[in-house]
Amino acid sequence: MRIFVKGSLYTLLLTSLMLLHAVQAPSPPRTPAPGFGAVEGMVLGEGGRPVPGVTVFAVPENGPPLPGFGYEVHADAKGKFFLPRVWPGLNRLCAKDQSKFYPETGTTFYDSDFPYPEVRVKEAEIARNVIIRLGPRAGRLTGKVLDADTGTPIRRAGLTFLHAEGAQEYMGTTLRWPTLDFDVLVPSTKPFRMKVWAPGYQTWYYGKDGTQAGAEPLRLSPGETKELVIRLHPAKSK
Amino acid sequence: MDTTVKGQVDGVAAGTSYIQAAYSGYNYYWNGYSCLNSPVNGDGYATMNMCDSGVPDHLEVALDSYQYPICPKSGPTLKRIIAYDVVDAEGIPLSNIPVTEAYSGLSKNTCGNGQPSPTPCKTYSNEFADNQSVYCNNVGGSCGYAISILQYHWCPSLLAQVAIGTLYTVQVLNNSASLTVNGKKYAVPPDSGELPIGTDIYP
Repeated sequence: MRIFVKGSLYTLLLTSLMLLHAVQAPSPPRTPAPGFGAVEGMVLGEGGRPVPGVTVFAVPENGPPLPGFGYEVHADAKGKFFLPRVWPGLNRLCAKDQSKFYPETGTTFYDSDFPYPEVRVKEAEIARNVIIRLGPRAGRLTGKVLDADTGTPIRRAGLTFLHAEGAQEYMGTTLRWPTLDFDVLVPSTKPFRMKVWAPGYQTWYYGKDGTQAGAEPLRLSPGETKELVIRLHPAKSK
Repeated sequence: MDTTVKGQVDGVAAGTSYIQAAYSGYNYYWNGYSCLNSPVNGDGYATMNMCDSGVPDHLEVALDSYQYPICPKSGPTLKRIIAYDVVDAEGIPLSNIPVTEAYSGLSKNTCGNGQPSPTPCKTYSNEFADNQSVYCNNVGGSCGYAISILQYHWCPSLLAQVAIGTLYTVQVLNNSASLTVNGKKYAVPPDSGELPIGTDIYP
């Protein structure tokens, strides 16, 4: 019993010290990486609400090409972020989150009501209170591409998104491996055309009959998901 | 007294190897009058067979896409994004694998915005994506750089790096991006130049 009491007191003391330490423990220092500057701020989505978990990254306006794997961080539960590795100079602060319908805007395909903020970053210094506003949300196209004769998925299929009227290509993508499907955010801000191709098959255009002549612009609402099952006809059967 | 020494050997590739242990010491014995000793030494070895399961071996193409970020001075500038799965020799995708890249034969970037640098070692929960773009610059016309050999490495913290995939003749321009895999060139645009998904890329 005496040992138990001693043990309990010891445990209590240890627990108290741990709690004290937890309360007083300083958060890790937020400093720029050597040779870089840093940016601290918040990401706001539609309605001005913070976007937790969103991916944030900086693109230098005239800096060296970014490392191939990029450098990005995720906002915390309150939408706040700290980017410790930003090239000194003028940078564009970008954010994206596929699951929340926020694509990487500032491209020819995706527009935004709010241009990305541009921030001049100095080496070893932190640019603070940068607000990245996102919106409106994009739409989402999901689906599969099948052989019209056999109904089997076509592995080599690809999707291309084009200007609603002209020949300008906005974006191209393969299907996703190994699921052989697609899940692509598309702008809700403008119409566009869509074609699906595969070696050995007739190219398909979104529209009334799948032909290029019958192609029709497609436009989705913010947050809308449209599922497509596209059947390509073998080129020989034409 | 049991003086067994225990340890761990980490394998980095499939195959057969052996581990050898040597020892030296003294044998103590009582001859009826006093305690004597004699030196003793020897060694032993054991064969180790390492299979591939769970060991990064090569890459599989998970997605190949491109789009055009708008730059203030250079206008729409191509960005190609290729996502890879790290798989073992049996093609089973692995997770939480640290990956880095290495360049050999990097040309001068004629866009004038500095030289690209390989990505430091970083762990990815599943697939990793490699971005190829000259990014924004002041040239605003045809410009870019080339890499003779771009190699992806598995970079475990306590072991030597191991190559898991190699691309050849990588050329990144403001309006196109090409590379060679298994002797075939894949250039985008056009969209038909995308790498077929599921393509195995070996070291």
